[in-house]
This record gives sequence, C-alpha cells and structure tokens, in this order.
Amino acid sequence: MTPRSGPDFLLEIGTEEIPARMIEGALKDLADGLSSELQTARLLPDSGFTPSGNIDRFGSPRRLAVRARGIRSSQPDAIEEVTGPPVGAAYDAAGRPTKAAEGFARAQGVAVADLERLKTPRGECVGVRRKAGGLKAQDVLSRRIPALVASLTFPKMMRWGAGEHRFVRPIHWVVALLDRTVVDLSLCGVRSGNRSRGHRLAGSEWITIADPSAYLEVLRDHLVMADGEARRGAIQAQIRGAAAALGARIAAPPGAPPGTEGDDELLQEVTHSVEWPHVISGEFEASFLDLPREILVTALRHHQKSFSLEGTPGRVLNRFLAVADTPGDPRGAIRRGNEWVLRARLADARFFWQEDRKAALPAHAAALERVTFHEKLGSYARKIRRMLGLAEAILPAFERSGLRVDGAAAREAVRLCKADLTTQMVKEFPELEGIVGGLYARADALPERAAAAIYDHYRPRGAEDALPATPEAAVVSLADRLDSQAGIFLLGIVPTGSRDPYGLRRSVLGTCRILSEMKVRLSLAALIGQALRGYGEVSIEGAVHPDKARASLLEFYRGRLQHLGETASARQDSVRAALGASMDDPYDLMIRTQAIDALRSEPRFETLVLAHKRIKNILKERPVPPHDPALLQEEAERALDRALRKALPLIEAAQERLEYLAALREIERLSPELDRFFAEVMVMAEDPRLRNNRLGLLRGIAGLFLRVADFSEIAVGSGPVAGAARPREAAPGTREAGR
Amino acid sequence: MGLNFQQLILGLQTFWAGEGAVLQQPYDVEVGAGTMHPDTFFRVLGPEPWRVAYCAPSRRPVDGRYGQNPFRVYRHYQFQVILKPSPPDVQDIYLRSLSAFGIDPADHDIRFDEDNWESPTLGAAGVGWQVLMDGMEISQFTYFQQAGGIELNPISAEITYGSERIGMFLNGVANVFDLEWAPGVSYGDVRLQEEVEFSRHNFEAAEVALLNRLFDQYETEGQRLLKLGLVLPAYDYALRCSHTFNVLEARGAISVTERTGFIQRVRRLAVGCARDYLKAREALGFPLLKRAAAEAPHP
Repeated sequence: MTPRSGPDFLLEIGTEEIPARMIEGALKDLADGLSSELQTARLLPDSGFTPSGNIDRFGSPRRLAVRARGIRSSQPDAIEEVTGPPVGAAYDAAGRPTKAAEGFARAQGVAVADLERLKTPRGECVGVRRKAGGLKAQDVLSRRIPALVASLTFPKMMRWGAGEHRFVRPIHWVVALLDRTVVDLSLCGVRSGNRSRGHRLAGSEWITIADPSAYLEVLRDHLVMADGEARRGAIQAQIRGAAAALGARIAAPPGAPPGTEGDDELLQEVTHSVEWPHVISGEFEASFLDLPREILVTALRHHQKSFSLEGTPGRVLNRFLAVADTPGDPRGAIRRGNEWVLRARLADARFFWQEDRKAALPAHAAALERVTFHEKLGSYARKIRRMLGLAEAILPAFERSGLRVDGAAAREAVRLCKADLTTQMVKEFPELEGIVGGLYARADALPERAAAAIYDHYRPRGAEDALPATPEAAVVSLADRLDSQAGIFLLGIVPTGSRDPYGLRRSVLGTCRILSEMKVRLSLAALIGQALRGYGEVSIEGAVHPDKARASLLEFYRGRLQHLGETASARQDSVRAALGASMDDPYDLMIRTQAIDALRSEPRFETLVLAHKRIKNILKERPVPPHDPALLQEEAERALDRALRKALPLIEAAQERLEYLAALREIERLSPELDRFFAEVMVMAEDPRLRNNRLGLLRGIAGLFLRVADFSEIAVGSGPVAGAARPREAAPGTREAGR
Repeated sequence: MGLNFQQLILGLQTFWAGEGAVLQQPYDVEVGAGTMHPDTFFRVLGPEPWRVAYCAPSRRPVDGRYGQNPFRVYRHYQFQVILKPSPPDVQDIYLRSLSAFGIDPADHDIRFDEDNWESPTLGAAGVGWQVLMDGMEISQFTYFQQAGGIELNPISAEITYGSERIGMFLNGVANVFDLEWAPGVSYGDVRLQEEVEFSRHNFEAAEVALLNRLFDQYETEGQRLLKLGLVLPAYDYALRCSHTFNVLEARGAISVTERTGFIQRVRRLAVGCARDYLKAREALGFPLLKRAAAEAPHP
C-alpha cells in the first residue's frame, strides 16, 4: 500500500445485465470522466496521483464501478478572480462608475466601490477577488457525478418503467462512498448509499460496502469477481486446466491469422458476460466430427459461446468448454443442458451443410442475380462481372511482378467467390463468408487453387490479419476491394474517422498491404480508373462524376498510405516526402520511403534537402518548358547540364531496379555543379529566353529529385522529431529569385 | 420427465394470472408473433397501465420445413406477457416464473444476453435480451421503446417464452414432434400434417396472383376503414396484409427491391392504426389510467 494522502472515492452503478461488448468502453469513459472531473474540481493531490495508477475500473454485467484512491478531502483554498468590463468602460471621464460597472457589481453582489483593478490578457479590467473553494470533496462529487454519468453514451440506450430516464440498462442501486461516508447523489432516480448486491444466485439481500478499499473482497464473498482482469485470468486458468486435463488445446477461431493460439475474442466476450465464472467441460457425438473444422468451431462459439478443443492443430475433438455464471454444477444439469443444446446446433449445422450441398457452388453462383450487393449498385452477379474485368487487369501485373499465378484458377475463384452468400451456412454464420465458399468448392472437387482463393479472399480482414495465402486469393481480394471502393465513392460517400459504414478504411488499407507486402507492381490510378469504368454500363442514381470519384478515392488512398507508412517508419515527413513524389505504385512507395529513412542518418542528407528546397523556391509553381542545351551560355550552367545528362540514365537504371539509395547517391553527386551554378549564374535574367531556359534546366534537376521524393516535405535542423510540422516556406533561395 | 406441452402452457397461465395479468386468448387473425396481437400492439401505446398474458400461435411461412426439421416449424406457440409499466423487479418476477415449469434457477446457468428487437412492419423496436438457460434460448425479454412509430411512455416489458423449446428441453426430447402434448398424444400427432401441408402451400402451391391482389385489397380496405375511424377493424387488415406478404415471400414471389415497398405499405397502415388508436383512447379519457389512479398504487 502506498501511504495514504487522502480519502478514496468509490462509485458503483448497479444495473440489469449490460451487453458484454459495451462494458470496457463504459468503464474507460467513466474512469476518464472521473479523472477529469477530479482535476477540474481541484480534488487531486499536488503529486503522486496518476489516472492509471490511482483510478481502478471494475465491472461485470450487473455493475460499472470506478474507484479513485487518495484524492483530496476538500479543495485547497484559492483566490478566485471574476473579471468585469475594461477599466475604460467601467469609469467615465470624471472617474465615475458607468452603468456597465454598476451592473457587474450588482451581478457579483458587491458594492461598486469594492471593485478592484485586475490585470488581464485583454488589458486592465475591473473585477472582484474573493476567497474561493475550500468546498468539501463530498459536496463537489455529489454535484458533479450525476452530470458525468448522464454524459456517458452507449451504442444503444433505453428507457424503462415510467420512461423518464435513459441509460444502457435500468439502474437498481448506486454505491457512492468517500471512505466510509456516503456521497449523497441520485442517478436516474436512484439514491446513492453504501449497499450493493451480489450475484443473482447469492440471493437478493443487500450487502454493505463499508469502505471503498473493501469493495472487491465484499463482492467476492457474494460470488462476484468485479475485477474484469482477474475474471479473465480466472477463466483463462480454468479453460487451460480443463484443456490440459484432456491433453488438448483451445482451438483458434476460423479466419484467425495462422499461428493464433486460443480464442481471445471469445474469452473477452465471456469475461464480460459472467460475474462468477465456472467452466463446464462437455462432449458431443463424435459423428459430428465429419463436419469441417471451421463449421464445428463456429457452431460452438457463435451461438453457444463455447470453446472448441483440438488435440493436434486442426484436429478438433468432440469436446467443448462452456463458461457458466455459477459457482459450480453439482448436479450436472448445466453440462447436460449445454450438451443438449449443442447437439441441436450441430444438427442444424449439418442440416445446412447437407442442404447447401444439394447444389454445386456454380449453381449457387447463378442465384447471385437476385442477391443485392448495394441497392443502388445492383446485384452480386453484376459485381462479379465487373470483378472479372478487374482481374484481367490485375493478373498481368502479378506476372510482371514475378508472382506465379494460376490465371484460370483465379478467374474461377472470382466467378464463385460470392456464391456462398446464397447458402444457408453463411446466413447462419456470416463470419464464415468466403471460408464456407472455399469449403464447398473443395467438397465439389473444384481445382484446389480456386478453392483456396475463394477461402482466403476476404483477407486481410484487419490491420493485424494475415495476407491472402496464395497469389490467386490476392487477385480475387484486390478485384473485390477495388470494385467496392469504386462503387461507394461513385455514390459520393467518403468515409470519415467517425463514419465508415462500408469499412472502406480497412478495405483500402488491405489493398495497400497486399500490393506492398506481396511486392505487386501496378498503377493505382490505372486500376481505380478501370474499377470506375466497370460501373460505366449502369446509370447510378445520385452518382458523382467518375472523375470526382477517382480524385477523392485517390486522395483517400493517400491518407491510408500515409498511415501505413507511418506504422512502418517512425518519420512522418519521410512518408510525406515519398508520397509527394508519387503514390501510384504502393510497393515502390514503400521502398522509396525506406531509402529516405535510411539516408536520413547521414549528414549529406541535409544538403540534398536544402538543394531541393532551394530549387523549388525558385521554380515556384510556374510552368516552364524543358531547357535547350544550345541556349546555355555560361560554363557553370553547361557543366550542370552535362552532369544532369550523365546522371539521368544512371538514376533511371537505379529506379528500375528499385535501388533508391543508389539513385539518391547519384543525385547527391550533382552537388558541386549545382553549388557552382547557384554561385555563378543569374537565373532570373532580363532576357526571357535565357531566364526560361535556366528555369527549365533547374526543372530537369528537380525532376531527378522527384523520382524519389519531394524533399521539401522534409523538416531539417529540427533533429529526429517524428511528426515535425510541415515546412511551408524555406528561407534559402529567395536571394536568387529576387535578383 | 418434465411437464408436457399443455402443462407448460397451463403453468405459465397460472403464474401470470397470479401476477395480476389479464389472461387473454390467441387472436383469430394470422399473426407472425405475439407482439402483433392487438392486446400487445395497441395496449403498449399511451399512458394506460396493462398486464396481459396469452399463448400466441405464430405463423412464419419461411420457417416451414415440411415437418422434417426437428427444431423448426411453420407455426409455433409463443407464450406472451406484457407488463406496463415495466415493474422494477421484472427480472425477479421472470426468474420466479421459471418455477412455474419446475426449473430451480439455482440448478442452472441463467443468463441475460443482449438481443434487441425490431419490427419494421410494425414500426416497433425494443431493447433487451434473449434469456439463455444452460446455453439455450428460452425467452425473449424486451423493453419496448417504440411501437407504431410512436415513442412509448411508459415503457412496457414484453416477455416471450419459446414454449416448444422449453418443453423439449424439460423432457430431453431431440425432436419437437416427439414432445408430449397431452398424455398419450404427441406434438406431432397434433400438428405434423398441418406442418407438411402448410409448407407445401407456402413454398409451392400458394397462388401468387391471388395473393398479390389480396394484399392490394386488404391494404385499400384497411386505409378506408381507418378514415371511418374504425381502428381495430383496420388493424385486422394490416395483419392480413402482413401475413399475405409473408406467404408471398416464402413463395419466392418478392424480389429484394420489392420487399422494402411491401414492408413500407404494411407499416403505413399499422402506424396509422397506432396513431388513431391513441386518439380514440384519449377521446375516451384513457379509462384504465383513471381506474389505476383511483386504486392503490400498483404493487
């Protein structure tokens, strides 16, 4: 225990069962809110208090609780200043108080004569100084906590009874304690006290929380593990123990990246749906093991929230672990019940499997004419036709990039990848879309490479997920993503941080990851153009012009590529510089970003950056034609021209091989000629022909830089600071431009 | 052996009668759920208190399986309870009701698992849970937030028991048709032929052109009656529209794009009924509210 500097505050909101998915978020909001309330209310001690160290969050389906340890028992005294009108407006020329001064004094409850002169950022004003605060924590909290709780939002809220209050679920009790004293307040019409309730099975009598520090213990005595972390640990230990007793391990959910151990998502969910976990180990008939592993594991976890077990990876056992909310199952009723229900669920799954298999996958695909992809964008059958066109554009790019891809299998996979949307299995388990298609393709004895491509084409499902395992799957995934992105942007829908109903951030990030991590070389602009043209045949109600959709989708890609680059490289401006040159080929972009980052540590890097900035400053945005070597007069400019012509093929060759470090070294070699040029040549000559020719020469040099990066995006001299401000104007270069 | 099917229904009726509910009977127009019974749909509107319980045979054409599926049937028997306003101890009352069919909550794992409910055709929505017992859904528990497009005040609690499932569970029966209905008579004896014939009707035989015509006529008639201030008769036509739509859908006669249009039309009629019902009750001075005020406060 740390030495106590002040009292502890405990708030517990007792409710009916809160949805498991909302508990963590609510506790975070409550803890953050409490922390900032304590801060603004000046109830935090001068030192030693940190939100993470001193504010505990506890929660379970029937309670949300926060505890702040060691706050002030009252606010420190402070002098409060209330500022009124400026002195000039408060007194007239004769020094008599104006109406403004009188009004202010009246509002503050003081005599005009008592107004003082206060120095403020907006000049000298009249004002009032009084001793403020010293309010007791008790009083402050009882006033502020109800507003804090009222400000909590949940994904779905409700009203109950007379209908006058709104919260995530009805509130039944409130514990609000400052050490041993009840903080008097009321939440949704429920008055605070020091009485809580235990587990439903522990009976309905009230239990007393004498002191915030006793909270966890008292609840534990009444069958509640209120600490979510401890509860998760308890379940983890129980399921591991039960699995070990059977010589088995917890199976990972289908679709998890290879190598995933256990099922953390399910663990998280069950953690927040129980107050006192007890793991039930049961079994089902071995005859169900003829169902594919993916279907079995999903049937267990989707509806029954049960963990599957496997002996060796991929070999599921006819066993399951369910997490009950009880102290035990002495009569075995819970195990028998779960086994009974599971039998029904597995029978359902087998029924779906058999029904779906009555038609082969291509027959299911035929039904896609009647399945809507998007109400304005038409059916899935249409989407497939567009995707086939896209696949024809993507396949050659894979081959050019040296990826061996079975084109026939990829085309077959595109034709069939959405067929599982018409199956009963996917209607029952939407999380298995794609996977089910792959399984049915295998069962139909379709070519394995096509089946594998269907199975994997939703990958990567998120930033952490694995890429599609085969090039064919990557082709399908890209065609699918590009088509959806183009369609949604054609509707004029641009996702924002808070609103992304079609999951386009994830979709675009997935495209970028596939291209850059699988080293596929292609032009994004061309691919997006092709995807948009795919919609050309139909007139879409409310659509924006394709050029506009293309521009905004490319801009959206820029944001995602920036994000992806920053995740891989610490320097924001390296990514911006690389993006500034070009973003059309995400793999190339990644290599350039790496080259810039690698060169940054070398001192010569700054020379490069300054040179590029200097040239850009002279060129501004003006359009100039390429220079004509015949017009070059001075030796310094002819020397630069020679250097440029010598460097160009070398840089082109390095670029071709993606050896950008070498390209940068070639550019760097131009430094002496460039320095001499700036020293000896007046760019802004009187003669417009000479002037434009010199500008043209400089543009040629800038063109070399821009094959790698826009170095003017790089912040120099600021040291290795990630996220340095974007430099807008740079000082060097003005002299030449102004001459 | 647990209670047979009819003992289960009897047990629930007895329990809820004891909680002050009006024991109502099934409605005699086809409904897809107990919620569509006028004693739920209308009574949850407005300020008047109400408690009702009834068995609601519910027709869901798309769920028909020709009597072949051990768990799914075209028509099932919901047991429906409305408590308005929702009492503070509604969960406790519910848990006590389980003892009506011999379940001691202490022996089981009973969970309230998030499950919200929405009916676009009725303009209704609620927030609540599915109640799981040892992993099986035995009830739906919903706090109605909106009905007929109208925000509700006070809020009603709706409890819907899945009678077949509970019966199967209590008796360890793996096929609903084997469930004992009465001594010596199984659920299959009572219902199998109906399941087979209605599955054939709904999926294969129903006359699409006739049903389309009927839908139009039911809708027109409902709107006409509404204009005459005949709210309850108009609502019967809304129910007929809804069921006709359900059969057309099972028949595969409604495309995805048409679907929204059908739902909108039923909804418009239902919402009109809700609005006019409320006006009619107001004109009557909300009779049940007056009586409640005259008596002692509700327990």
